[in-house]
Amino acid sequence: MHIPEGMLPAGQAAAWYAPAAAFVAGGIVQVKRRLARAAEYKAMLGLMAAFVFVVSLMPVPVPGIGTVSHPCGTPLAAILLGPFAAVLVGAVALLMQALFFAHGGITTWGANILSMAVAGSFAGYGTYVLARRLGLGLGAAAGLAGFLGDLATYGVTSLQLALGLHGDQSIPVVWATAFVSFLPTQVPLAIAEGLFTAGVLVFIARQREDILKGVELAP
Amino acid sequence: MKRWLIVIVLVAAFIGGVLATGSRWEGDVTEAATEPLAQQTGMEEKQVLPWSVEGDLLLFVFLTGGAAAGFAFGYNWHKLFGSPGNKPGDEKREQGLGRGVA
Repeated sequence: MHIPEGMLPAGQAAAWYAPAAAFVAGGIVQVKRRLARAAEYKAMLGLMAAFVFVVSLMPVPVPGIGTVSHPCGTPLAAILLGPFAAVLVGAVALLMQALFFAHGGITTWGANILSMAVAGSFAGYGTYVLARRLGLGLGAAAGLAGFLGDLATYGVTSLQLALGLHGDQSIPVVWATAFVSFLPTQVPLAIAEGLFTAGVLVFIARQREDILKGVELAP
Repeated sequence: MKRWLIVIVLVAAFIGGVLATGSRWEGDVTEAATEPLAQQTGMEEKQVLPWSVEGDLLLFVFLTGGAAAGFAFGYNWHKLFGSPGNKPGDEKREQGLGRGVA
């Protein structure tokens, strides 16, 4: 989902910065509040920052497709840290990747924050909360959150590409074309991300249930 | 033991699948999706930063970044889930790395 440098029209690339900045500011506030409440939040923040940085940079080949892609990590981070804090973590990871790892770009940083950090976090977190309220178990809710958070990220990337690069075609058609072209590679990775997210939540619930006290709808 | 066996089988199946397809594994899926659209509208990737990271330098920064993130992950993991046998006064800790050595 890392839209490369210069691929979006300058006006649109700049416009994506405004909502991204608002979410990042919300992330700073959420992190400050939670750090003041729980000492171990700092360790979880460090753990998730390293996790999101690595998994969103890792090119995973999908057998039979021939292209590589990556999971997002932000749905899991959003469940454990809170959705705004996960946006902050994702934004920092994307900045590092743009500056030093030839992934994404500075001009497209705002757009990439909106897709991976905001959409991934909020879709994942929203799915988790909704699924838990509907009575799903912790693992199933987390798995669904990982799966849909991953796909939401690519849905928003497709929208950004459609808005910026639709040319003479209609935006919905370009959006659908781009999103469908992502699916063969991304669906297997979204399933893997869902399984991983579920596995981590269940592991934490078994090993250290007290960590999940700050997590909404934890067991 | 049974769980580890399942993990090993799954990883082996994945690696086997990757190798069996014989693809060149070139390009991120986003680039593959973006390029046709960019060509239609005349957009192309630009270099904005005064430096570029390519070739062996890219390998180096990936390795360094991965190692740094790995250390950060491990450090914080240990803080949260550190093994019970690694607390002050525990037998394993007192033995350190010399455990089992005369």
